[in-house]
Amino acid sequence: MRTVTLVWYVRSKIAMKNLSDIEIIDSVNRGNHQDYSLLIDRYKDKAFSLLKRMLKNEMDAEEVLQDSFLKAFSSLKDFRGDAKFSTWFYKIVFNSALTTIASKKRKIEQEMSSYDETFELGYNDNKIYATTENAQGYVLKLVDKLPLRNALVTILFYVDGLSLNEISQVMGTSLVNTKVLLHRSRNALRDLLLKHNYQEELL
Amino acid sequence: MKKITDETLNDYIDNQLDGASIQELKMDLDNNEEALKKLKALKVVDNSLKNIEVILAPEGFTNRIMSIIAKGSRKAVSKVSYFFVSVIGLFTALILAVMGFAYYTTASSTPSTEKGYSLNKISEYLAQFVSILQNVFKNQNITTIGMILTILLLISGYYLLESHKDFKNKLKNLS
Repeated sequence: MRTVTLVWYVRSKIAMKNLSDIEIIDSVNRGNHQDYSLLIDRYKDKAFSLLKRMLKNEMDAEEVLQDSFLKAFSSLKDFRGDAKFSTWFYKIVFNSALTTIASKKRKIEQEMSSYDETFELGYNDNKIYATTENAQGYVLKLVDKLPLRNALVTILFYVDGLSLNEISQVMGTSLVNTKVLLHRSRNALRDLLLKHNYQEELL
Repeated sequence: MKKITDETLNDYIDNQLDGASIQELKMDLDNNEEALKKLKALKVVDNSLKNIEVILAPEGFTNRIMSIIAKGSRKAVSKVSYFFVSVIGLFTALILAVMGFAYYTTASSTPSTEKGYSLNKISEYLAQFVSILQNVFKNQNITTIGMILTILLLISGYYLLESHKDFKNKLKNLS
């Protein structure tokens, strides 16, 4: 009897994990609050990666992540499903992170440099280059040196798998400007790779 | 030699070019070593970024959030019930006290054959109770204090409502 129950439990858990975000939200809104844990499990790691890179501090990242999930839960009834849940949720994460940055009195204007501005990525290039063994390691270390907006677009695009259109909704920027931010980030990284002839690693 | 822009190379990496544009780019790249180098470097960047490490959220994070939610739900439910129970309880107690008092005095002062008369007596007592209240509020000081308290209550109610609306708007803006 116990085995049957256990099998049923495992099967129902697997079935729940295959549910779409909207199906889980419907279930939570019907009163099955426990199902919200499926959404948390689905997004916590990627959102944490984003926050840690934005806030450069593990404790702040954890606090903002917790705050974001609680905010999302409390306004889940207002989620109309016009956009994907991921876009809506990342918007909450993004705004909460900006609030934290502002409250910590960092120079937000400076960090949130406009997409029109150029940026210098190679100021501590020699140090990074000296401590990395290959192109991939080098690029990944440089991502953390990108200006905040550029890093955000890059992470949302590559780690969270959001489209440029979704990223523009999350960040409140136009699609063209979002594309410019991604291209500039890649071009800046590309130029440094070219400087060290890392492009040959592709061959 | 046709100039190959950074945008074209980035669009190629993102699969944003159509078949004809890809063919054209490939032909142009044959005669443009510098652009070819750039494309190779962009591919390295793209491949590297696809392997960005996902940083795992702290252990037990989901359980922590779920326990906060569970606590919050319990609090919300108990808050609502306490509020309604106290308001309804207060009114019920008041009505029962007035009716009980009226019934007790009527029953003790009237013979059992005159039960129909009791109802009239109850309404008389209720009228008396209302007139006592009226007399109390005839006093100018009490009326003034009552007015001030009412105004304060209305103002605080207004600010409470506004802050609630503001909070709801903030939540809506987030969505």
